Amino acid sequence: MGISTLLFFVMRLSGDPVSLLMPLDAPPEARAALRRELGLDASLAVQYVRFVKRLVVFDFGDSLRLRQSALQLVLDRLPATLWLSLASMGLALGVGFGSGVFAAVRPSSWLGSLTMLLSGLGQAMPVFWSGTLLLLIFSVQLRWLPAFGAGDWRHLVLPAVALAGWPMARIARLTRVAMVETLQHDYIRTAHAKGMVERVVVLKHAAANTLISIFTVVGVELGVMLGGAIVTETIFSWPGLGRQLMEAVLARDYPLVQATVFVVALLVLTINLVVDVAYAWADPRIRLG
Amino acid sequence: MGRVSAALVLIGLCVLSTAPVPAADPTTLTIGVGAVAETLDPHLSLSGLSTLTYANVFSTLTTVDFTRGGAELKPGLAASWKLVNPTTWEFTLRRGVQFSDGEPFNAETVKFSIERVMDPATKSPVRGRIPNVEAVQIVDPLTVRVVSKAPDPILPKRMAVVFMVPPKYLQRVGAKQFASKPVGTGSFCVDQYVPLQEVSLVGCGAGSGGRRLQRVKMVQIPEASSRVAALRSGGVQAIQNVPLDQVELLKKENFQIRYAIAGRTMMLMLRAQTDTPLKDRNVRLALSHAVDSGAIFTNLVRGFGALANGQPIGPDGFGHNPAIKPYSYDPGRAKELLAKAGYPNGFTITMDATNGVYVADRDTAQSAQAYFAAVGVTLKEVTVEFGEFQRRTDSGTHEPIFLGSYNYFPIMDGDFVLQWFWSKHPVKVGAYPEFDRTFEASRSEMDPRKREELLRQASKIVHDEAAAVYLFRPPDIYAVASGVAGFTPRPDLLLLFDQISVAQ
Repeated sequence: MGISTLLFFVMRLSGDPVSLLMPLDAPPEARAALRRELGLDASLAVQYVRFVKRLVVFDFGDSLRLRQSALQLVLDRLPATLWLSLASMGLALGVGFGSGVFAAVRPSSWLGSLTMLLSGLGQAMPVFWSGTLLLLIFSVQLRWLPAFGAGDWRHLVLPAVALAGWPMARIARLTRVAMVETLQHDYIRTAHAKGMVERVVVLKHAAANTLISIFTVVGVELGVMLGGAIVTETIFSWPGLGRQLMEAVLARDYPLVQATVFVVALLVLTINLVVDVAYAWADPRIRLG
Repeated sequence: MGRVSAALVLIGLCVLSTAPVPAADPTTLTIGVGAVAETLDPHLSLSGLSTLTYANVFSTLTTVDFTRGGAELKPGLAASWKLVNPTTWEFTLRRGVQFSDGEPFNAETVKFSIERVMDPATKSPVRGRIPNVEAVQIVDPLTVRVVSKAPDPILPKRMAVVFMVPPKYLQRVGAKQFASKPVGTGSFCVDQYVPLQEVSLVGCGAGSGGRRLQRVKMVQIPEASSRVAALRSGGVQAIQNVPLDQVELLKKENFQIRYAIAGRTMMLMLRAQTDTPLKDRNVRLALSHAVDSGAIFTNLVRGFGALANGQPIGPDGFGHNPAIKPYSYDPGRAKELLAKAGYPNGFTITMDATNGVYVADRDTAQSAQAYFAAVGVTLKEVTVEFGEFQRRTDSGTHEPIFLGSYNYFPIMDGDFVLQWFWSKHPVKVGAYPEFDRTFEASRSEMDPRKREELLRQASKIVHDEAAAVYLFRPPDIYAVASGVAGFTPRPDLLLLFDQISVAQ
């Protein structure tokens, strides 16, 4: 509710949607008429009361530009965004965590150093650059993967890899730090002392415990991704929420912006809740009495 | 076992490497566009990208024809039209026209379509293009009269932008359904529509005599470099709005570059209405001589499009004045004129411009700064976002100078672009009483010859007054795969798909 109210006023401060809907050569009377028909001529207070009344029943009104239910438009885009987020988070977690553990266990091996070097690069490389590079290599030169749109899994590969770059690098670095710390704990020494096999110690005891501390990062990163991987979605023409949101903001499409932010906020809240619960479940120490 | 899995991997790789590249299919064309239609209801959007779809699915009473070089008004769904009295135009409709679902097209359709645009409940932006229409009267099933509030000499031209929609189908399915699955009288029908993603059209209807393509898909690829990648990867056969710096690369790879010179002019608008040195004609003349528009055209627009010839209307627009010669690039003369106006040491002035909205807008703004600096005028530039730019246009609050691109398409009539210099226009640019008189006279002159003469005079006045620095007409530019023929963009930014064919 707080977010919605804030957004309502910020969006309206930003300007007039009608001047973007009408042609430049349209006479001013025609503009005034369209403004009236879209309910944009009323005072801010009146518009706000209308907005809140409808918000209670999850009615955000029709998109000014696409003239369809704003909420429906958001729900139509949601699966694409969810797929992309989950796929790249899976990739980021799998590769990032794996290489982080590896780098912690074998800090001096060349592969371990290479992993950390790559993760540094991954964090430094902006998506618009790495994304364009991926397009040039895998779509234009090799022609293995399609350059745009959504459809089957082949469409998902490039955007998922591009989007995974940053969280993957972050997870790898955090994992390494956490893992190094975990490996110094007494219980690891105990496990070693019991004569357990190195692999079991690393994977079952140390890695499993490190994974818990990575959860929060995963939650945060996933929230960021859901909010719209605007750049990635734009480069790969991925029909997700982020791109729709950006276009809506530029067109001053108030209803669509409000519906998008509302749904995303709800999702992020849900993820945070899930992460907290999962954390409590995995680590009994932080459960409250 | 090992051999089997190796074979599987090999097959997998083959599938992977060939699948995304569609085989040359002579019946299908996929075009990468910046954005697909916002809605398929042709009365709810005026954006060029939406109209691209409408023009192939729907028809209008009159059409603008570019095939003979200039722009001519030709019959569309109306076979002929005539002026009955100064405020009434009568249209005689074509016999036997049907919508793709079989619904007949007649006077009822025309009345319904125009009234739907005018009805406040429709919330149609198209109404801005027919501001004068008061009523539509049916004379008989094939004759209809359009009555305007005041004499409107360009009403038949205005009818070229009002698409005819089927009343019975619309009433049956409702406006929402119509907006995603419409039927029209054009040579293509909508097969699939996913907003912000894809519009797929299939050939249909009676008007398909010369049509060779069976399917046209427009896919939304908003990022220009991604569109180029999509074309080079073979995923699409044509792309819209090619970045000018990629043209050479694409030519080398055997893509065709197809472009039209858009019916719009990029201008530095000089607001003589502001309390600034721009009030003085000598100052405006000086600024016109200070800018080398030829160099801007060659270097920034790379020679695509056309150089403006000292006026806002190009030779393909009604009201173009062939006698006008553009001001020469002459910084020395500019300095003299500034001194004469009382500014021997120049002055400082502000300009607003957009970034990435119009072709080469950012670069043009920067070169204007450099050219003005060379004659002692300091130009402070403010870059504004497009929505804000439009707001300033509507409220007359632009900076004293602003850089914009103003159209005389879709109907290719000078009225559309000359109105910006009318002192009563809300943008508040011009302050030229003689221009006002001439322009106002043109708006009620029903004789086309006399009207053209008035518009030519108006063009001459805005040239003589140096009301703007006229720069260039930008290209509407596509890159197209080598086997595609008949791909001809038009100055009104449209593209007729029934002219296109794809070689095997």
